[in-house]
Formats: sequence, C-alpha cells, structure tokens
Amino acid sequence: MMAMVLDAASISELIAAIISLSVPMAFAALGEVISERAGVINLGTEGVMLVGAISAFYVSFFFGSNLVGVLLGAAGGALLGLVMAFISISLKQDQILSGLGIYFLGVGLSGFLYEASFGQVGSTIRITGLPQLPIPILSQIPVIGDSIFSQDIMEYLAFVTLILVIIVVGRTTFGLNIRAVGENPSAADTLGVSVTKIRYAAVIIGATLAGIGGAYLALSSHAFQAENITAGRGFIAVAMVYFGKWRPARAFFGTFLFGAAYLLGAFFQVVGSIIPYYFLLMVPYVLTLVVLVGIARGARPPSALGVPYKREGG
Amino acid sequence: MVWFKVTPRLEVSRRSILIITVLAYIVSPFVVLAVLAAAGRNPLVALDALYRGTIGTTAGFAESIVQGTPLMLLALGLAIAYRGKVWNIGAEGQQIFGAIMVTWFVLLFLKAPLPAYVMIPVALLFSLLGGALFAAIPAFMKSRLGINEVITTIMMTYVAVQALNWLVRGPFQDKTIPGSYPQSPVFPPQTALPIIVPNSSVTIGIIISVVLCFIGYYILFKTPLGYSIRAVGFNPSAAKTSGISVVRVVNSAMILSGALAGLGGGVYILGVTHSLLPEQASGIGYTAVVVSLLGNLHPLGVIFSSLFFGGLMSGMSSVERALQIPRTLSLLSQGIIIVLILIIQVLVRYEIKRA
Repeated sequence: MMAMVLDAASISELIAAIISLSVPMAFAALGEVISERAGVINLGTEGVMLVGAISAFYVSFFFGSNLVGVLLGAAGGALLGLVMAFISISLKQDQILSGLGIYFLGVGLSGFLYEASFGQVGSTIRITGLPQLPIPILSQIPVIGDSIFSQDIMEYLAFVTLILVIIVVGRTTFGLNIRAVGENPSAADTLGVSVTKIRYAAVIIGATLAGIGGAYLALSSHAFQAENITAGRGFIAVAMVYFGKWRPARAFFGTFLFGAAYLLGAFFQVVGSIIPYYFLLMVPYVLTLVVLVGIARGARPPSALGVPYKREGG
Repeated sequence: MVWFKVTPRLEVSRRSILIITVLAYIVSPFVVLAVLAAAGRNPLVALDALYRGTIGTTAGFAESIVQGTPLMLLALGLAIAYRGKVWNIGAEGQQIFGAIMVTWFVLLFLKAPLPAYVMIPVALLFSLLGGALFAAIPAFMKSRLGINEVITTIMMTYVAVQALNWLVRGPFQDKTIPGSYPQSPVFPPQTALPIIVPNSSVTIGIIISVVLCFIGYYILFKTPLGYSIRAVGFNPSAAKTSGISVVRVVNSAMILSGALAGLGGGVYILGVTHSLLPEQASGIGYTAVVVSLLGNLHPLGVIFSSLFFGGLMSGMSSVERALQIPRTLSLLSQGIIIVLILIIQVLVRYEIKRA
C-alpha cells in the first residue's frame, strides 16, 4: 500500500481527493469571510450547508439535473441567510444565538426533508454526480494534470469564486462598504452607507455560498446519508475564517488542510491500521482546536464583529 | 423591500415576559402538529399520541420526567453560562464525558462493588468532574486566548462522540456477550439510582436536579459570583471597569455548566441505561440549549422548561411510533421553537415600526 501511495498516479489521486473533500468547506469559508467582514458571524453555516445538500440531492435524484440541484441548494442557503439576517440585523438579536437557531433549523429541516422524500425509496440511494472536465493541454501535465486540471465544474468554480471574492471585497465599492460596516458602522452610516442593507447583502451572499458548498458535498458524495452529512464541516469553515484572519485566500486554502485530515480517516479505514479508526475520525476536530490555539495571538477580527448596529439616539 | 425600525421599549414588565413564555409553551406543540399536517400526516392521530405520551397516561408521564431529568441538569448549567454570555454549545460532549468517567469508575468495581451509599455518590462525583474537566479546555481557550467558545465546544463534542464510539467497541466493551455488541458490561445494582415512583424509571435523579436548580438560583442571584456572571453578560466592558475579572467569570461559568452537564450524563447512565451505550450521544446536549432559552435562562424556569421538553421528547417518540415518522422531526421542531422564541422575545422588548 505504501508503495502505491508513492507513485505518481496515486499522488495525483490523493490531491484530487483532497480537493474534492475541501471544496464544500472552501465555499462555506468564503461565504463566512464576506459575512464576518461585514460584522456578522453566521454560526448557522453548518445548518445552511445541510439545507444546500438536501436540496441538491433531491433535485439530482428525482430530476437528474445537477445544475438545477446546485441552484436550488444556493437558493435554500440564501433563504436561511435571509432569516439569519432578519433576526440578527433587523431584530438585533445576539448573533451567536441567531446562528444557533439557524443551525438547528437547518439540521431539522434537512433531516426531515430527507426522510419525507427518501424514507420510502430504499437503502441504496445513489446519484450520478458531476462529470470530470479535464482542461485541454494543462490536464496533460504529469501528476498535477490529472489532479488539479481534471476536476468537475464545481471545483473550478470554487477557485473562480475565490478570485471573485478577493476582487469584490478588496477592490470594489461594495467591498469597501462591507469592510466599512464591519469595522466602523457608525462612520459608514454617517457617510450615507446603509449598514442594514450592506449587512443583509453580505449575510445572504455568505449563506448562498455555504448552500452551494453543501450542494457540492451532496453531489460529490454520490450516496446520501440521512443525517448530518456535513459532520461539522460548517463549523470548521467558520474556524477557518479565524485561521485565515478574515482573508479569503488564507481561509480558502486552510480548508484544504481539513480535506486532508478527512482523507486520512478514510485512507486508514481502507488500509487497516493499529490506530483505532475512531481516533482517525477525531483528527479534523482535534486539528481545528490545535490550529485555533496556534493562531489565537495574532488574530484581529473586524472591530464591529458580533455587534448589532444601533444608531446613536435612533 | 420594507425596512423596519426597531426601538427598545422603555419598560418591559415581568408579567408580559411570563405571558409570552407560557404562550411559547402552548404554541410550540401546535407548530409541530402543523408541520406534520403540512407533510401530509394526520395531525389528530399525532395529537392523540402526543397526549398519551405526556400527561394522558401514567407511563407517559413517568417517561416525561425520566427524559426531563438529565435535560434539567444540562439546561441549568447552560442557563448560568449564557447569563454571562459564555456560549457553551458542548453540553453534549460534556455529558458524554461525564458518563464515560462514571463507566470507568464503575468498571473498576464491577466484580466487587462497594455498598450503594458509596458507589452512587462517588460515581456521581466522577460524572461531575468529567464534565468539568471537559469544559475546562474550551474555558481556558476562551478566557486566555480569546478563541470563540462555540467552535471549540462543538469540536470537543465531536471528539467526545468518537471517544465514546471507540470505548464501547474497545476497552469498555462487554466481551462476555456473544455477537460483540457495542456496549459496556451492565452496571451492578449497587450503582442504580433508587427509584422513587414504583413501577417506573423515575429515580432520585429528579430530586437532585430540582434541588440543584434552587441552588443554581441562589448562586446566580444571591452570591458575588452570580452577580459577576450577570454583570459580564449584561455589559462586559462595564463589568471589567468595575473590577470584575472577566477571565474568572468565563472560566467559572463554563466549568460550572460543564460539571452540571457531566452530572446530567451520570444521572442518565446510572438511572436509565445502567451501561455505556453509543446512544449516550443522543443529542440531548443540543436540546438543552433550547430548553435553557425556553426557561428564560432562569434556574427555576429551567425546571418547567425541561419537564416540558421531557414531555415533548416522550410525546414525540410516541408520535413517531404512531405515525412512523423520523426522529429528525423533533429536531426540526426544536429549530422552529428557538427561532419562534427569539422573535417573540423581540416583540416583547422592542417596538417595530415601518421605517
């Protein structure tokens, strides 16, 4: 087995598997960066991903359309984002608490929808998933050609989204407004920026990306487990935003570490090892804790993160 | 798009909070029934099953108390922590670790157990310590390093669940049962909590829980520690200025809530299952979050909300059996209830006008 790992084909398989495991978290982490830069922590990301997953799976299974599945997953995410925005921005409730409500809502909703739609279908519920689209020429490069340049469309889209998020947050007026309402909302308000509107937009865009991440998780897993397909990936995505110090690229590639950690568990399950299987399943979560401790000192969140905006004397 | 203007009401009477809370109790079961009806199931059959699983039969009522007992301990701890804005979401992991510690202790004395008056208090103490230790890690990560406790407590819970899965299939597994079931040996009778209602599983656990709720009320509202916790929750920077150690408050609130959660796990294993099972990870720790909110984060309110939720759990499993619907339905109703409560609370505390 070790020998197999070392040859080129296997390394490329390994990279491909890590990317595939990371991309759902990467989408969610990008979304969370946008939301948090505007000053809103969405802890409901896990629940949003679950709703995205069940929506996509439903469409793919019953209608055979993965594209519509992703779109519906995004719409489901946006809808939960709207609820989150309403509770935390308009009603000014504690963001942590609002996020928890969204999490519970997402877990319950996805589980219930699954049972309601697939409860009678039978045990082997499978979908075709997304086809691979090798990029001409680049996919011929040894090792990385087979892995990085022979992905399915959603994996390419994740990288495109990363670039878009970097540009939008860093280089556009909208991005400037997002950062302004996250750092100093009253100053932004004085300059005529609607804190409410910008935060609504950021939360909904963030949740939409999380919904897309969940959708991809469902489509790339081919077979759906009833409950908790995300297994904490939404929370890890939030942790990666801390890890990435609220910068899109760092958060994005941070999730790849966790893709590798999930793969480790799956790999040793196949190989059979002296380390108990359940310890390997712990790896991503323990790793999150260790990483958080490691970066804690240098992290500086947006100043207004977690604080509902109240206009003075308003 | 209509934008709303939200302004706080100057005075919020305690009576209106009480009325609204009671309203939430009454409305939420009907929300669940409405969801069932929307899913095409007969809500009347569900209502009947709900009634029989809660207050309609003695067995249903006893089961409600049994389910409500550990929930009460978990929610009490969370109520205290949340008062200080310490968002411990890991009661699930803490109660699992409490039960693991109990099992470890009991297995040491499996062949030659000491008398019950030694075994039970020591076992409960182990559960308390287990929960406290497990909460100490996120507590220090929060108070010393400023790491968001929501993420750490959830990560810790995943670790606890996998530790449980490993232990019941590994070191703690009962090797004498053929077929290698994932469970520990059955505990000796000396560790079983005394039953106080004949022909039921209602144990002294419920008495312990209710007494602790009163003690929790005393701590939160009559002691300096409780005052500090509430002050930090109300306004951290003002509390800090007035000389309250935020670090100490975060640590004590988190560890106290972990200890109570651990005890909840201990009461469950010693009173109900009498063996460590994978089902110890039942999700009760997440339910406790909702229960503590429904109890208005008040230790005495938690007594009612946990018994209510115990009833809801017992009633819902009766509904699940009658209609053959999944457990996730209970989770969905929890999600709806939490959002409902948040919105209802806003309606009490704020005026909402069109902007």
